[in-house]
Amino acid sequence: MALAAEAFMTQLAAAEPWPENAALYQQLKDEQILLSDNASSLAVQAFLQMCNLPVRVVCRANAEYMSPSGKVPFIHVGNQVVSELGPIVQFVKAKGHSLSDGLDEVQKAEMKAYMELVNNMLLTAELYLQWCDDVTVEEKQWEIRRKMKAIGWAGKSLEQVLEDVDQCCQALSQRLGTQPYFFNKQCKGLTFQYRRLVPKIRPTELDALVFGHLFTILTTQLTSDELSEKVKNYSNLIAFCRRIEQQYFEGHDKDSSSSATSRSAKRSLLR
Amino acid sequence: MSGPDFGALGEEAELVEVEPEAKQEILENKDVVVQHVHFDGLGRTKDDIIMYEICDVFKAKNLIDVMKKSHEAREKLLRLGIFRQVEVLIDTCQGDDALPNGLDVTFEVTELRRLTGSYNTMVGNNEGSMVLGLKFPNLFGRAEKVTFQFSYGTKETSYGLSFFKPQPGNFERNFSVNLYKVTGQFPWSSLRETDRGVSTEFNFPIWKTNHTLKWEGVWRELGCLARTASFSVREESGHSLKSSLSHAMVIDSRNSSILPRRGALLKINQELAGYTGGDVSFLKEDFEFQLNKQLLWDSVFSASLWGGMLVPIGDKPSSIADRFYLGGPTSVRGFSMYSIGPQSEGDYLGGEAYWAGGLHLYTPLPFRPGRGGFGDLFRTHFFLNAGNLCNLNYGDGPRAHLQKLAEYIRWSYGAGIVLRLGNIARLELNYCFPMGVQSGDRICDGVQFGAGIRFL
Repeated sequence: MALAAEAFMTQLAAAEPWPENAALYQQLKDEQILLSDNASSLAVQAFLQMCNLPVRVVCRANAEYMSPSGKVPFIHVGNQVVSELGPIVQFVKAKGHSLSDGLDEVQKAEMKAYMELVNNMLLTAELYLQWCDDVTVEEKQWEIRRKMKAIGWAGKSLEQVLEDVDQCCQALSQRLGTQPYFFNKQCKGLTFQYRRLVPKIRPTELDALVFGHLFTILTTQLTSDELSEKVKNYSNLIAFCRRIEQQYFEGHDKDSSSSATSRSAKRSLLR
Repeated sequence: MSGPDFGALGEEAELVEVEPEAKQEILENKDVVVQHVHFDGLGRTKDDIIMYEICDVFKAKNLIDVMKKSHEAREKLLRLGIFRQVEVLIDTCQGDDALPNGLDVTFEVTELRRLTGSYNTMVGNNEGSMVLGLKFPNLFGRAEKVTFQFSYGTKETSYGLSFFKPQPGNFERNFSVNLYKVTGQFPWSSLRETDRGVSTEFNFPIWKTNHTLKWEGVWRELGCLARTASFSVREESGHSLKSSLSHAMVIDSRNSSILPRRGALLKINQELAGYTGGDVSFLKEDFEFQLNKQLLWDSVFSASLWGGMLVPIGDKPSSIADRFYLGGPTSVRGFSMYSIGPQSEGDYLGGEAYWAGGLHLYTPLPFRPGRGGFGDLFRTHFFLNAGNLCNLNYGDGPRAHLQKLAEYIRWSYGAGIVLRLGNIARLELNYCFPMGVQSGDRICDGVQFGAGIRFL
C-alpha cells in the first residue's frame, strides 16, 4: 500500500512544473527553534537553491504540527506537502530536477552512507548540546529530552558526544579533501572561474545536508563553544561552508540572514 | 413556567384525583390540619434539605389540598435525584396530641445506593469502545452527585468527571465542576480534535428564566484526520488554550423538549474568550428560538430560528474549532452533515456568522395505526428549512453583514416520519429536496436519516 501510494504521489508530482509560490515551513525563529531543526531547514533550503528552485520561507509556531510526519521543515508545493530532506529529494526528482543523477551506483550508495552518518552523528550531537545548554527554555528542554530518549542517547556523556562529532567531522573532511564538493561529477555546461572557462561541477544533496548542519553549528551561539571548536579543527570544512554560503546564499542577502541562523548567530563565517 | 418534568411517566404530570366515596364526602371540604410529617427510610440524607421540599405540606387547609401538596412534595423529592422511590401515606393523626381534624403525612422513601455503575460496549464509525460509568448520588447527604465516565476505544480514549451540588431548598440553583477529555473526529473537515478541559458552572433561575454562568479552560489539540486534508485545515493543526466565560439564558415554556405541542423556547448564549488567559480571543453570540402551536386534528405547527456570530478579538483569525457549521439531518435538511459554506478542497471550514430557520407541520400518521400505543410515538412531518453560513468582513457595517447573510440562501423542503425516543432523542427519516445549492456544498437529496437531540 505504501509503495502504491508513493508511486501515485510521484505521478502527481511529475504532472506539474515547480510553481512560483512554493513555500517552506519551519518554526518561529526565536528561542523556539531547535538547533537540529534549524540545521535541517537550512539543509533543505540549500538543496532547493542548488537545484535552482525558488521557495519562500514561512515561519509558523505550529509548523511541527502542520507537518504530515511531525518533523520540520516541510514544503508546500502546489497541492502537496512533503516533509524532511529525504522525501523532498525524491519529490524534486519526480519533478525532473536531480543533483545526483550523474553519480553511479557505488557513489550513490556512498552518498547515502555519508548522509546517514551526518543524520546520526551531527543531528543528535546538536540535540545533546542544546540539552546541556543553560539558555534553552523549559519547554524545549522537555522536547529535546523526549527526542533523545527515542534515539537512546540520554546515557551518553559530553566527552563521548564530542568524540563522536570529531570522528564524523574527520570522516567528512577526509572525503572532501581539497575538492570543492563531496562528489565532483562534471555535468553539462561550462562556468567562468578564475578567468577561464571550466566544466561545471554541481553539488549534491549531501553537500546541502553537510552545509546545513555545519553552518548551524558554527554560527549558533551556545553557552559552550565546544561543538563549534571541534568543527573548526577542519579547515577544509570551514572553507566548504563559506563557499556554499557565498555561492547560494549571499545572492539573496535578506533571505540568508533571516533563514540561516537563529538566536545571536553570526551572519557569515568570515572572522 | 416550568420545564419538562422530572420522573413523570407521561408527557404531562397528572394531578391525583380522588373519587369521592360516600364515607369521605364528609371530609372533602372539611378543614384539616397537617400535624406531623414523617419520613421513613432516610439514611445518609440530611434533614435540612428534606425540610425545604416538604414545608408546603404543612400549609394545606383541606384534604384535597393536602393531597395536592403531598404530591408536589413527592415530585420535588424525586427531582433531587437521591431517591429511587417515594410513596406518600396520608392518615388521620393518632396519639395524645391528635386534633379531631389532624392528619399525618408519611413519606416512605428508598434512597439510591451509594454507588451505581454501568458498563457498556459501543461499536460505531470503525471504532469499538468500552464505556464505564460510575455514579455517586447523594454523596454527602445534600444531593451532591459525582459522576465519572470513562471510554476506552480502539482509536481514542476519553473521560469525564463531574461534581454537582445544588443549593439546599433551591434545587434549581446549583453549581457543578467538570473535568474532561473528549476526542472528536470530523470527517467533513478532515479534522481531529482532542479537548482536555476543566469547567465550572452556576445555574440559577431568575423569575421565569434559567441562567447559566460558566468558566471553561480547554487545552485543544487539532490535527488532520487524513493525509489528504486540505492545507487550510493543516494550517490549524497544533495546540491552543482557550479560557472563556460564558452566559446562557433559557426560557422554556414547552410541554416537552421532543415534539412539543405548545409553548416556546428561547435560548441566548454568549461566550467571551481570551480575557481570562489562553491563546484564543473572541466574542461569540448565538441564539435559538422555537415556537409551537397546536392546530386542528392533533397537528402541530412549529417554527424555529437559529443564528450566531463569532467576532475574533485582536488580529488572530478565528479557529476552525470555534466557528459555526451548517447543514445536515439535524440542521438544514437535504444537505450533508455540516457541508454548507466556506470550504477548501472538500474540507468544510465553518463560518463566523450563520442563520437557519425552519417551518414544520407535524401530523399523526395517516390512518393513525397503533393509536393509543406505539403509533403515538410517530409523527409525519412536512418541513421547509433555510439557512446561510458565511464569513463576515467586520470592517463593513451591519447593513453589509445582513446583505451578505441574505445572498446565496440555501433552502430545502420535504416530508418524512419522526419517531420519538423517550424524552431525550428523536429519529427522522425524510425525503428532501435541497435548493439554492451553491458550488462547494454537498447535498443529500432524496432520503435522509437523522438521529439527535436538537433539530432545526
